[in-house]
Parts: sequence; structure tokens; C-alpha cells
Amino acid sequence: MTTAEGIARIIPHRYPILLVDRVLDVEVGRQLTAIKAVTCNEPWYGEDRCLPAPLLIESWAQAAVLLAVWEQPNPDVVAGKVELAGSIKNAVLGDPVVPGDVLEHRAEVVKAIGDTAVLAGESRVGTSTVLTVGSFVLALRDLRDLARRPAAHAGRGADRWA
Amino acid sequence: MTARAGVVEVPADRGSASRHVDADDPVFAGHYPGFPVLPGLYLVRFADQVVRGLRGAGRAPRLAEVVSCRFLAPVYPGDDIRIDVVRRPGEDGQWAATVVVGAERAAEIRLRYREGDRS
Repeated sequence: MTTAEGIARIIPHRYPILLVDRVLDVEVGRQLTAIKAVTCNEPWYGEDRCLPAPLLIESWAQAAVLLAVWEQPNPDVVAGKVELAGSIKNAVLGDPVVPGDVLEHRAEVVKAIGDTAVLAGESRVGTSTVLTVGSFVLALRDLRDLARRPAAHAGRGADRWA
Repeated sequence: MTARAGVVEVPADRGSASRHVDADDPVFAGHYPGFPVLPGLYLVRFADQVVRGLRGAGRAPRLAEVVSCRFLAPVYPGDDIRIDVVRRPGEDGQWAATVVVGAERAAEIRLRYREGDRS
């Protein structure tokens, strides 16, 4: 079992968008199971009081990132690489997720080539499947290789970004 | 009536929205420390909000599937983005969304909404 402190040593996501609380088990390079407890004390609820579907997918995706980088922890994007979602296919949503639910995410590696990984999986609340993900392509990129640069970083190696 | 001759009932099967990505959004503190970049799934959320806005708050359909989403360029704090959505004819409940930042496409998104949620 890996706690929130251990998770923060593996991926760079932090409050308020660290959406995995605990890793229950991991088979390195194959699959990972993690949980997230959903609470009212998060900033994104609308009037329907449901966890917005994109945030549910983000939470699952963080479990997938944990699996992808488990053996090459990347807790700091400035020192390491930046994790960017490349694409998502067939993220099918089930019943709404509400505060009080405990999400159990399962992610598995479909393919891994260099700094790109393809993952799939699902999320459950109890016996109810609330999300299945057909494929999620994750790319690890050096900051200098990004297609666009932020204005704040303009002074750094600007010639490379033109 | 002639004064209103140009007014027609336009089915809300497409729409556009501009959005300023607020640099003070708390999400940037955690995504990521030292290198703030908008989580890609936020673009999916923005696209969903535009589609739901077109349908009217009382009839807001529920998202059933992110059919596909390709992230093409990162979006940073302070960026101005445009989100164009269009209903895909012949494909029940499906909408295509394009997110543009500057002169570049940031994301291409396809969403599916629950059947029966037709406006």
C-alpha cells in the first residue's frame, strides 16, 4: 500500500488537483489499483453536487500515470519531465459520482514505448462501474520539447521555441 | 412583420465561446508546482459546459462518453482560448469540439450525451 505521501514522491500533481489518495496494489509494468475518497470539500461541484466527469477521468488518469512512471518517479516537472495527456478514447461514464463515494481505479498497461504509454482501465464505486477507459495515451515530455511555451518561460532558451 | 423577416429559429446545433484562462485559478498551484499548465481534462470540461449551455440549464443532458479527445498543444495561465462545438448530424447525441489557443489547435474532442436528451 502506498499512502498520499508516497504518491507525491512518484507524480508531480499537488493540491488541489492530486486526485489519488492511496495505491492499494501495483504490479509494475502491468496494473495498479488505487482509491480516491470523494468529498464535498473540493472546489468543483455545481448545483447537481456530482463530481464532474472530466475530474473523474482526471482522477483515473492520475492512477494510470502512477503506474506508467512507477519505476521512474517524476515528482517535479521542472527537474524531470512533464506528464501530458496525449489522447483519450472511449471514456464511458456510468452513474454519477457524489461526495461520500470511494472511487476504486484500476489501470493496466496496454503498451509502453519509450516515453509514451498506452493504458486502459475502469473506476468503480462499490460494485457499480462509474467509468471505463478504452485507451489513454500518456506522453512524458521534456519542458523544452513542448509545442508551445508559456509566457513566463519566454526568456529561457527562447530561440528554441520560435 | 417585415422588420422581423430576417429572424429565424436557429436550432442550437453549434456554438462558440471564448474563455480567458485565469492565472489565479487555484489549480495551477498543483498542476504543476514550478510549471503551471492547464490539466487537459479541463478543456473537456469547458467543451461540455458550452454544449450544456446551448441546451439550456433546465434540460442539461448528462455526458455519457468522451468518445475521443486529442490534446495537441498545452494551455497556460493567462491564455485566451476559443471553444467551438457542433452537433454531429446522424450520430445520436454526439458533439465535436475544437479548442483553439492563439493560432493553434489545443484539443479536438468528441462527446456523446445520453440518448433521449435531444433539444
